[in-house]
Amino acid sequence: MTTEPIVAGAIVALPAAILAAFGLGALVVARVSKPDLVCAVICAAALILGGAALGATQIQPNSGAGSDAPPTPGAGIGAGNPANAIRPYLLEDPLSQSASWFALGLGLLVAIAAGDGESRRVGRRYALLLLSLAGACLAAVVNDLFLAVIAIELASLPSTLLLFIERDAPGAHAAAVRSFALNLLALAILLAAACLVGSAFGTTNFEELRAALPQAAVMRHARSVAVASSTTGEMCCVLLLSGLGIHLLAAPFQLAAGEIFDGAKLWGVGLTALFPRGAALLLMIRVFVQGPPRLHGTAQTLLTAVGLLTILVGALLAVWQVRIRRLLAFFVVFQSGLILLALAGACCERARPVAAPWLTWDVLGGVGSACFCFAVDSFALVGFVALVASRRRSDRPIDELQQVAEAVRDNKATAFTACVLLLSLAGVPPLAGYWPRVAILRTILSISFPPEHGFLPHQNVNYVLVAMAVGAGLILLTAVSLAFVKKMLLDEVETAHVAVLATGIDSASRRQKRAAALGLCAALATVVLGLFPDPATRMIARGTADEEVIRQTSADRAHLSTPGKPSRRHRGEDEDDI
Amino acid sequence: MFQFAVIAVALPLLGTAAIVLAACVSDDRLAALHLPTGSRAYRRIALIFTTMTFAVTLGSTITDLALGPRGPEPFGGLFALVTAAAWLPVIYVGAERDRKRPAMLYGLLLLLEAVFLGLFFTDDSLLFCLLLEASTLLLFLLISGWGGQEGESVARKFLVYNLAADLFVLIAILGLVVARARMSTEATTGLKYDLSYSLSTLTQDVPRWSTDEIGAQEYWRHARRWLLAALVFGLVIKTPLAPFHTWFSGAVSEGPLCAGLALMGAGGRVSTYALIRVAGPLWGDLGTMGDLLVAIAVLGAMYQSLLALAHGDLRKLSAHASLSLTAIAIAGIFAQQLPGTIGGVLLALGGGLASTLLFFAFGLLELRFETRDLSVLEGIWRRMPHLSSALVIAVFSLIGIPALVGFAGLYPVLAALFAYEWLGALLAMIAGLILAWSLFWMLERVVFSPQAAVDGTAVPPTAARSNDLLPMELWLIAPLVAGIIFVGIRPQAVAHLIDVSIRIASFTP
Repeated sequence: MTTEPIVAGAIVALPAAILAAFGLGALVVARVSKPDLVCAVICAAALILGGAALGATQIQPNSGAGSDAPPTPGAGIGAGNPANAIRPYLLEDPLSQSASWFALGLGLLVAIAAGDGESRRVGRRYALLLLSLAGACLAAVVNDLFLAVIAIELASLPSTLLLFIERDAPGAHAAAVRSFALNLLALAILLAAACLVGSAFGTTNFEELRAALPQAAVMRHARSVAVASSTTGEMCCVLLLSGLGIHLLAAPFQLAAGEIFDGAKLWGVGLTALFPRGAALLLMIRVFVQGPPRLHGTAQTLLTAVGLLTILVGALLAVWQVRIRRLLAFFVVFQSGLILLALAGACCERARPVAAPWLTWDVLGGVGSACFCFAVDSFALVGFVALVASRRRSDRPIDELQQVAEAVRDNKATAFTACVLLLSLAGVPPLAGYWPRVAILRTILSISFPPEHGFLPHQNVNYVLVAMAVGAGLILLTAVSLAFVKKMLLDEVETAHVAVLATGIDSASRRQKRAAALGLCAALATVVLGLFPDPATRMIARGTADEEVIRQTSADRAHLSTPGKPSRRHRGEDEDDI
Repeated sequence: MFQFAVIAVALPLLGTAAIVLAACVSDDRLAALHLPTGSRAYRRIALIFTTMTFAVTLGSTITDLALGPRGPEPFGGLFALVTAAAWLPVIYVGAERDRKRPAMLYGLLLLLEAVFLGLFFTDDSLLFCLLLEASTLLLFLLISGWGGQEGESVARKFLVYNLAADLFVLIAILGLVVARARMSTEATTGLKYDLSYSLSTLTQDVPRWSTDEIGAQEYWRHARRWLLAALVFGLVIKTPLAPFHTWFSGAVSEGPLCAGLALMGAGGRVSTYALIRVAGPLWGDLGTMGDLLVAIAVLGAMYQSLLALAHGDLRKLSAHASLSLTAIAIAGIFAQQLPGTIGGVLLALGGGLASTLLFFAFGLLELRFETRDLSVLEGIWRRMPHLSSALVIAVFSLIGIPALVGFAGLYPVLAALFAYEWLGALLAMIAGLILAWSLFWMLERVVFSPQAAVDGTAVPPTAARSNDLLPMELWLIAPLVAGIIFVGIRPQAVAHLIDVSIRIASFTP
């Protein structure tokens, strides 16, 4: 292996490198006078340069829009370049590009919401945001398990540092310690998993792992796909899921989510809930869905079990919460459960494309549903957090639900905006959050048993029960959010509170107004996306489509559309005979 | 038809926008323009848009009756017409609670009307599920925000039951979409395997392919069980049949009058519509599951009739009467014979009209006498002849007196039940008799009792007469009464429309 292709391939990590460098620079600059202004400029410059670098490394868009023609991976910087053939550490595909763009956009929104507070503190926030963002961008392009561990730690450590820096709340110190301890545990587990993978499979490179074992194309009609995984492979899966599950806030690996969120500032909640989880989601896709075909069955089972548990924990614990940050924590935990179940569906799609023949570049699969859910909920969460933070006054904390309701309901526009965002987080129609949940339910319901005796792959009824459990969780979250909405919209306002709040409104800072405007924009986007979901759905479907699966479903379509070819039933019988 | 549907759904939405605009204008400015202010302004806007919506849905149905149905939509159009007719009283009784946030109250009511109309008009299964859930959420906000003392707990119960039902329906429909997509690969060589969300496509393709193709037949044999179980279970909760009925009477009695009327007029009809539109074409021969469902429906009808007999609360009485009739209609549908299905639809439509009229009349009595206790209200015939007449028409229709819509629906349902299982028909008849007993007893006490005063003292005839229906109220009940009588006299016109629409929807030759 020569160094030239490695250097050429490393260009895809340029956005992450820029963000990390500027983040470190901002951390140093945060000690000078008026650091918030300087760091804001650095942050803006980093985002612009990161975007420019990402644009420069952009792969060619799909020329066959609306058709089954796939986008061409590696057609950008490395088209015809040997770097594409080797890619030892980094890769570029539609998923990595989409995820990087999404992370930059989300980073911009979080940066807008971060401006409220004491000058030096704001400067540090910008620095930590850039570092976390760099981790997320790196996680999008890594092609090696060890590098992935570095990326996810880079994405998650800043949020732990932020907890240590902003220790104003009563439980903040304990939350910071817990977060740090969990980070260390996750690091240890992931390193152990990487070592085990390296020793068991002889490589930690994602593409080599995938290529080292029989492809799904050969195995797609065989029941053995679900059961052929070895004990070592299963252990690797368990360890990887544990390590990544801590970062994704999946139960039972992350039981301290409520305490950690409660000890953070509202802005810190946004940082903790977004970039580390985004990085964990990307790595789960790389490791489990795009991972070794032999382990898809194991991964599917594990993801389903953990997803189901996470959903139940998130929904049940959300019912009892009276503090806003803890409530948001369990909303996020529930969303993580949904994501895990969608990934379980994606594993099944990958293992048996014949069971999901409708998948094209425009239809969301399991990966698309998970990413759609994460994207929509992230925007709603950032908007909600920014909006609530904008109502905070020095004389009135907003820790409890009742305090939040009182803080927002004197202003109709704010109250409506908060309601829209919260309802979207709960997946209430016709808001944006509804559609990813529908897509995830469809993915869960499309999980099937392998086809037998040439017949169609029939429905796995166990997953109908899983879908019903998801439904029960959704009902609980909707009930919780509607009760809160009623408090904000319909309950009578006490006169004394109005007077206090009216004074507070006058003294709202420019930054708080900016945060409120951000919340309003997020709510508007949520409503528009809820009413017209198709363009966004298509865009995410194209960005996250599984090329391997679609190639096979396209092959099936082409095969069946050819006159004189035997039907699937007969072909299945032939294969069984073989 | 499509244009009618779009206009009918758009009008209440425009009304909501007009209310939002009016809420932004100060009362002083409205007064300067000689326009009504405050809650009166919002109510007037809502009534104007609701009347226009009713006119559009009426025009749509008349067109269908004149030209004949060309698709499955006219079937939904009939339900939409009942909804639009019921919504005039819904808006009117909003005055009961409109001292608190009137703009939001009338805005939500108009939104709810748009949602229900969309439910009956849409052919998109995902939109159907979305609207089903949206109607639940809007009704929850109405019941919890403007309900009585127990409003909050009742609203929570309502929400949990209905959201569970909605999610069962959503899961079943998504499963159906997946099943159709998989079956299409087997059935139609070379077809692009799309995920079709059209209700018509789903209900036409799946039964056809499952009989034509061996592979699809085998697949459907496995999938049908859980799909139908989830769908029917969700709709049984939504209807609601006993033992899932407890949310309904609570919501009707503790919620605001407008929410109760909305539930009677449209909310209770949605599941009947969905059973015939979505589940009916799919279930084929239900076998023992059919026996079980008929038994649940008929026993539920008896139970609701007995509850109606036991209750002294006007709202609960009308709620149980409505549920009893709906259960009989559902039993007719589960009997899986065309007369039973058509009768079930007629009974559901007629039940919607008559229950709304009954509940509206009870609501007006409640607003005038500030009580809903049966034992207190006595002898209103001489003092309120118009209101009493409305009550009598509603009761006669509910118990199936000939020449009213109740009879037109009840007769074919009982005939179908006799053909299916004589015991079921017998139980349904007993349920109908108990219901008739409870309603006649109510009429005898409230309307025809010799006592002439509420508090036991004599009331001068002129003063008492002023409590009767206002001209506005007469106009509001006119469409309901006209519907009850028209379908009662000429049921074959509507039955033909239902028959052809159902055949088109289910691809039955």
